[in-house]
Amino acid sequence: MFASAFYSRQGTFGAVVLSEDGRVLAKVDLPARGHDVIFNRQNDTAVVFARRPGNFAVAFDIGGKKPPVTFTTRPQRHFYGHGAFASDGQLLFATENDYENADGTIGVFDASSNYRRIGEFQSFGVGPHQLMMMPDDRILAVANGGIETHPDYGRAKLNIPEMNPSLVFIDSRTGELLEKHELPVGMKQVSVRHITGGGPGRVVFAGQYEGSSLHRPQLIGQVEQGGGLAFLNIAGTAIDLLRRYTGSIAVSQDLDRLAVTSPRGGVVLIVERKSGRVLRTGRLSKARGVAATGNGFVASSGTGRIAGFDRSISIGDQHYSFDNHLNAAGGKSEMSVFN
Amino acid sequence: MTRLVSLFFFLWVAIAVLPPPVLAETIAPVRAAIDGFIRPNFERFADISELMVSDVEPLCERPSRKQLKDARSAFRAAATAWARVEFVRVGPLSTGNRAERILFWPDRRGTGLRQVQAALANKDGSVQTVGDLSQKSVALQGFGALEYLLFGTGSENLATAGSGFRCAFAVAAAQNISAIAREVSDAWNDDMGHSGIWLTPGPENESYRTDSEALAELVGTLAHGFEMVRDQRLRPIAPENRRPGLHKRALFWRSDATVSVINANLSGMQSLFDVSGLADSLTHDQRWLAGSIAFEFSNARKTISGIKLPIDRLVGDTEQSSKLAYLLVVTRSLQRLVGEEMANDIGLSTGFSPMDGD
Repeated sequence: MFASAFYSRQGTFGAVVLSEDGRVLAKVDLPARGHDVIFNRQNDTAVVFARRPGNFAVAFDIGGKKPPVTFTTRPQRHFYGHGAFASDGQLLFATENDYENADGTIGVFDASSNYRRIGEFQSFGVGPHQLMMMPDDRILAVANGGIETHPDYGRAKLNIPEMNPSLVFIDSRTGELLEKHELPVGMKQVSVRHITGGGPGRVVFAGQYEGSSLHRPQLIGQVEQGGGLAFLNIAGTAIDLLRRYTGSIAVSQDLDRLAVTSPRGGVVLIVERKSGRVLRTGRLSKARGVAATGNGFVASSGTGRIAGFDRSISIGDQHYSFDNHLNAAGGKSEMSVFN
Repeated sequence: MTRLVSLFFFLWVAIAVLPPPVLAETIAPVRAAIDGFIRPNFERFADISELMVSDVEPLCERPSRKQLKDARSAFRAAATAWARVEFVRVGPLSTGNRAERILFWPDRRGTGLRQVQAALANKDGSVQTVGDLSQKSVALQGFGALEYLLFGTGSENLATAGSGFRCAFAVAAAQNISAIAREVSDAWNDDMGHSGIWLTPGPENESYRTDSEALAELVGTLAHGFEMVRDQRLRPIAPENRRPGLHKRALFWRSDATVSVINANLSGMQSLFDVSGLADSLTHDQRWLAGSIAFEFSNARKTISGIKLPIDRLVGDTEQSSKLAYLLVVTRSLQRLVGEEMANDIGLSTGFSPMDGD
């Protein structure tokens, strides 16, 4: 099954869980636009987070047996749209903006207590975006995009000339910073946004470039715990297609390939991780989310498609635009879009 | 297996579906925008910035009340000329932090003010020439710093001898703005630069693969411009935030240029919309959108013309500040009309989405 946030042409917002053949398994309405939807594999629930600068999240039962639980972060904070569960499904970690202090935080929520917020720790950078629990179930990897925003100024980016993105590893039990990987000089305006696991101790990232519209820097790279951060060397012609912007990233189940979407470029790139060689370029209008399934990838779009289905996913008579992330769970799918 | 094959087939059907074909002469609005709005307005900004330099320089040589008044007027003129075109962030303005060097805003934590005051207090020699200043923090280089120097605490002393340091700093800032403005104008006038790239979409073009992508950039420029005015210029001083000292959150409150700059932003956007002929790209059924857009621009113009109070009194006055609230509504409407309704109608389903981000 797949999960994604969506918005409709009628101006409504929600999150949806779909089966592989496009059936709606669960759907929840949202008061404003959501961003990422994550699964809690322990109890068949999913949690959708508000897109920044929203401050709500909704946990909903995929089986539809329990009413959804809406929770918020504390005052003076807002969510960045992403969260990650510990493997026992009890603790939920979410990226947040301590906007008065222009500092990133990780909010900690107790799933067993209606997602009560029980604490927070620093993200050790500005503008934390996606985060993930490493396979050891203790260390969190966090992409600090480096961009300062404040709700008083909407989504305006307040520190572009001074931005300093990073990818950090944090001990989720103590909040201690274990490693911080900053971007090299000359790449400081690549905002690291999306991350996914790339095997033990490894994280793959994709960014968005905030510098000149005439430049075409590399946007995709990987970090190794105890090692370093390095960008892949992807051919310039393929980087051009991304239009300086990535929507989401996924790594294949065999760990050899990654897929990245660009809504602006209307493209899905499949790249060999080892070499940076582009294996496939797929056009997908308003490509948004991507997930690894079976031996390939499935992508969603802002035109209501999950590529691989022969029709747009629509619910009732409305057409839905999926948001930038698509998560897969269940692992039984043999459907692969790009392989 | 059959199911897999059929899924695979449908997959390629799904991802091969292209957006509706855009009509012939798709690129015409881009050409009209560059020739009829972008080039002349960046050139005008560069020219007026040069005039500003020539009105600030004499302050150091022959300080007087009249010279200070002239320098302040020149500042307002240059800031307004900038506002008319600042929302065209694509291309030359996006390179080398030029936009932020000309105007670092929003400056939520008052970085610019702090740095300018520190430079004045310490008589920092590295802000005295344009060469040195251009290497400093962006918050020290542009209109924000210059406004404080010409209008802020202690600026009255510029009318008399003995403010040499402050005056030289002001000249350096004015020259810096002027130099960047000319760089940007020259870059736009270079047919081999971004103008040429924007006007020649194609498979080999690294920025614009199709005419539709090129057109999307133009529509996106307008849509993001409305968002900028709303979120960065209006929202911080909206009535809902009313409290003592609120006017100090306004851009250019010291020079009382806040409203004239918002006016220049919106009139610039209207000019770009009109000059580009974007309305001609609308399908027959959706031509009414052009009328709605014109109506909203007209609403904005009328509303701004009804604002009579200086910024410090405006934000505390119920009737006058309600006009700011209304402008929030108008700019939101314009963003929707152009960035969503119009973009959808003319088939911009790739390359631009006002809903992008994150």
